[in-house]
Amino acid sequence: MDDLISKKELLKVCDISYGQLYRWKRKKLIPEEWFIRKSTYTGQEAFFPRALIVKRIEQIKALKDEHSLDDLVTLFNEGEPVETTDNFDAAVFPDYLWEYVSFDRNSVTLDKSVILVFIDEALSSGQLTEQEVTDAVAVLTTIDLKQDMSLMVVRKRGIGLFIAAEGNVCVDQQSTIVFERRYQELVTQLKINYLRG
Amino acid sequence: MKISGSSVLTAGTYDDINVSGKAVIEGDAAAANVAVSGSMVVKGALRADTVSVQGKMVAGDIVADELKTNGKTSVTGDVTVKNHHNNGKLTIDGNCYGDVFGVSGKTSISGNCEVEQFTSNGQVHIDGLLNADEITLQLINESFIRELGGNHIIVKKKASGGLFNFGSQEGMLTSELIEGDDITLEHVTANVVRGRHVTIGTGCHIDLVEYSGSIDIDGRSTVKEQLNTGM
Repeated sequence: MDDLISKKELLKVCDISYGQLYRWKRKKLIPEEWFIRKSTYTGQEAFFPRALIVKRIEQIKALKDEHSLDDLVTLFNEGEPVETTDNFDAAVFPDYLWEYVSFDRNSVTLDKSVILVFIDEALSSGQLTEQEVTDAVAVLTTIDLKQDMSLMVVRKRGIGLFIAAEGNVCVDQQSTIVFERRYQELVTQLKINYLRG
Repeated sequence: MKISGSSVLTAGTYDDINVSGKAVIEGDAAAANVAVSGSMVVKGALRADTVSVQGKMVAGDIVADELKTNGKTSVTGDVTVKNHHNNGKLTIDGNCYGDVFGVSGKTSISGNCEVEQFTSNGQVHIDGLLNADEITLQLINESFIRELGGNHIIVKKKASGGLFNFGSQEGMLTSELIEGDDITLEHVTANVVRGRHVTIGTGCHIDLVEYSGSIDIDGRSTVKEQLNTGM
């Protein structure tokens, strides 16, 4: 929670310039509430939540050449209501993902799309075995997904366990969360990587 | 709507508004083009494609593609204008958004100013952050901008001898924080300056300069501490 990054360090880590950072702030690509002011010996300085800002900057860098900054604003706007009744085009998801599910390709709802994105992210993370992904999908396809859910795989002594939970999850010291995605994160990924263009 | 003399208009949408004399609008107003020679008071928000004022303008908020004011302009709310040119005295109690913001005279903004290009010739007072890709300030009298951030930032004293400068004091800018990629400063007093290429010209007093590329400090300026953050 308290893992903050200073503006100076952010520029170095992400290899961007002040000009870019201030431009993206003007364009509302970086939310105002991520600018955390703290007193240092030189006066006030801006810090950011490290994980959030680094991920956002990498996304902006990856997408900015193909998309206008205004389009990115829409893309990042997680608060924007997504129609759950939307029928997504099955063709935007690569074929290998469909081997894990038995969905009707003619009715791809938001929840089903999120599951497909989860499979894709889980497989490409390299952190999970195929069996763990299959086990997770077995759960995901039977439960009611919630907007504020976190989906994760916890591993203890080589045994993987899939958890879908709302709110915080604490694990004991011998266990590690090897893979975690928030539902909203998956929706953003869906918008960025599958529905763009 | 053409007004010659003095008139009070109801709130609403108008085609064009032309005022010679004095007009008061009793609430929000929208129009394609607004031209004022004299004075206009809008007791709500003004929305228009173009607004051109010779004289005095008072409004709640202004949203326009183009705003040209010559004289005295006061806005109690926000100004959102693509192209904004002001000559004279401009006071904005809220924030300022847009693409091009060019002012000469005395400018005062209580909130933040976020534009692509900010050019000022005169005295500026901004209580919040001035965030612009290009910032060019020619200073006359004492200016204050709490924070400046952007790409290219140039602050210089207005060359003396100009008509506007007649009888005025030395130009000077005071600021808490200046951050940009290429920064050139003259006659600036600041706590912290951070940039890639930083040029500190004459008459500056800076507590801390952090640079990642190059630094150049004029002998007539003082920089208490400098730090190369490049490596």
